[in-house]
Amino acid sequence: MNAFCIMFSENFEDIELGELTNERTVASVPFGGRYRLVDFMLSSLVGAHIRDIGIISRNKYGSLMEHIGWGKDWDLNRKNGGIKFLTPFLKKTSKNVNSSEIETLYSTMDYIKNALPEYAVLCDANIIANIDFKELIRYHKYKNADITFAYKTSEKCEKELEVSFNSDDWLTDSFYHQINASGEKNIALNIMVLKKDLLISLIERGVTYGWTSLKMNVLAHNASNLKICGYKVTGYSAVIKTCEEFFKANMDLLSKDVRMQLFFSKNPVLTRIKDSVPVFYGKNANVTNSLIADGAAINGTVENSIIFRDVRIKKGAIVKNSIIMQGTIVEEDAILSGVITDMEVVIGSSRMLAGTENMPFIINKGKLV
Amino acid sequence: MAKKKEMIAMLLAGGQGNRLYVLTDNRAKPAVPFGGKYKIVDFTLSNCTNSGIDTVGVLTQYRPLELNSYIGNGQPWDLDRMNGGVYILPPYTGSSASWYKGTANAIYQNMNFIEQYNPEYVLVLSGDHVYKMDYSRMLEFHKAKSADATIAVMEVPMQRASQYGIMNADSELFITEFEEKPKEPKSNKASMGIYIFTWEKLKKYLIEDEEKGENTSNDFGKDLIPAMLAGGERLFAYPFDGYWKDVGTIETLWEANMDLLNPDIAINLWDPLWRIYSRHDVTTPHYISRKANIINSMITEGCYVNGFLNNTILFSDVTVEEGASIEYSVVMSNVNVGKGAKIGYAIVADGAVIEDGAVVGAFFDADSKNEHKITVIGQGAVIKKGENVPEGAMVGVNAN
Repeated sequence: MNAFCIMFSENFEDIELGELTNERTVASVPFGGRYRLVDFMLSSLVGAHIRDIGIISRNKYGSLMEHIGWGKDWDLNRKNGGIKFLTPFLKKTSKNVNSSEIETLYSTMDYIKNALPEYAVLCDANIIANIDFKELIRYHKYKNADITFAYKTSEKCEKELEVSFNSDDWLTDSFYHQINASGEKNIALNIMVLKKDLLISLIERGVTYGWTSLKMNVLAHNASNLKICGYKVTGYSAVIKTCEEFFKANMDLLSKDVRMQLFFSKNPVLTRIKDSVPVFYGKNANVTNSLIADGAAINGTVENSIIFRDVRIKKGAIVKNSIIMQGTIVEEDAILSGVITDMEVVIGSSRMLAGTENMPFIINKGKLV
Repeated sequence: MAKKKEMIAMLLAGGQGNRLYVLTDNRAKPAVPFGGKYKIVDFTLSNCTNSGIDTVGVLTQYRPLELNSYIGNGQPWDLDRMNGGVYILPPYTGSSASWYKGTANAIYQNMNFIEQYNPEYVLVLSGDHVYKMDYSRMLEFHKAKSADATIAVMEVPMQRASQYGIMNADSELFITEFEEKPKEPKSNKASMGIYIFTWEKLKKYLIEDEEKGENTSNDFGKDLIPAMLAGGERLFAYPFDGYWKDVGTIETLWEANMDLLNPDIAINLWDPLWRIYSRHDVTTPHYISRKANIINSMITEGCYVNGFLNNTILFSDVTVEEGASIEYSVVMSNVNVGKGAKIGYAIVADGAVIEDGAVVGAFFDADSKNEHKITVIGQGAVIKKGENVPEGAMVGVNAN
């Protein structure tokens, strides 16, 4: 595919994943038993043979670098292209670390100018979807558009850009909702494709005019002077901006329908391989409606939960409506409900912890409860 | 010229595996799946990499496609190296070459490969055993004894000793005699088919063995070891007391799988210092539905379980529909088990389909003490709706 990609490991909107992003960027927040958020967009790109990907990472990118490594598990350890980390380029003249999207893109100009493909894809890492980028780019060419961006219909529209099109799918107007607006609306996703040359000129113009955001400035400003069209994403998609959304998207995976759309529809979803052992269910295991990743050993009760790799759930423990991340140990007779345990947490025996769907109780990485 | 290596490994993976019947219809024995997400060969390859051996020649012969593509460039075992790594060594490499006539001949035909690395020692392994072993400690033993050959042995029950190659050794573990399947064994030290040779000695005996022409079966156990003993070389028995199983038959393959579910004998797969590596399918975490009931079982990624499992191992991407029940069985990847189907004491190979209500194998009853014959369903076989496959049957797919 004649395209390269610039991916934002976190965007410049207010993403509030609480303790989950204390020590990591949004892109590397664990998700769905064995994944990190970034895996979904990366896998979609790789599925479309986009193999020249730069990941912009501003800070806290240690865990993301560890996860991605040299890109082997996504087949991105290529001689030409492959995956590159675009860490903050501080120039003598910059006042602070890349404070806006446009400024960040400007600082990666060398990477963009050196990229060989004709088309550029820009996307955020916090989108859970299986997107056919081949189809998106084909549509972009077919429409002979300047910019094509992805959108979806949503009942919820808070801190989202509502977009409206004419009958030919051309963008005519947009409106940013700061507070939730009811009713089904088309909302823009942070995924767009455009020619490399146009991207360069937009970034340069953006710096001149003091633009900050691709969505707010590039899309919203240019509906009348550029040919901007929308590509509707069908199938499951979720944008993770809050703990509530994170919790819900995980629980959505318990639906067979969602799993089919996300994992078995278009591109296989790739992630880092860990060589975990198959899951062992003991004589006292009682598991219902749950998603379990390899390496776990379960001898307690698990209900409506997502269990990550190498988790131990001991005899008599009860885990309900919870997300238990990698390496967590739930000791005997502990009871958890509505809880997110970050990696390597230990829940002592007979402890009881509870949260709710919209306020899950998050336990920090490595904590002993 | 490759850099000199202290020791390289030669892995014999060419066995026909006839005693695994339909399970080896399309693949070599080392490529037979094991333990949920592994293949038998993963154990030896992981042992090599965990023992610090970075050069492994894999000698293949029969039905090599699946094994070759599985091993690939060796990356899953960390054996993709700049200098060394894993190499598939098929027969017919030289101008006067032939099929590998025996285990010793297989190594003989690949002497050029070994010479590239100019090793001090050569480790000869079989690709059809399940065990964890640190070969570097065996090498230390070999060096400490100033041995010409070291053979790993394990003590087997005396009444079963006549099924093995038995090493008779003195208190210093110096081997005085080797007997292949003796009727009246003098010792219970059975050869595990793991050898370390000092390369100069091995080379000499390989050449001599080859010169015997028709008078040799070109086999390590039958010809080479006896010749070295007769030649007065220093052969030592290296005692091993961990878990080891030859999984060359349906019964032992099933038993070794069941051993993983038995906390008393389990070979520890969780040891972070000695991981067993394998090539992974791209798939999702597995899903356990509201109607599932799972007792003492192992399940790996990609499965969808909506039925009853008892003492069972599911490989990746297995679907178990509502009301199905599987007990004391091994179900390999991509198998579909239909609604209400029953499977007991069976090995179901990859891609098989057990349709709704079909019954496969024997079932637990207190009287029989669980001594059932194992039923085998071959790769891609289809057991039709309501069909009944009796205990001990082998169902394959015709080659055409």
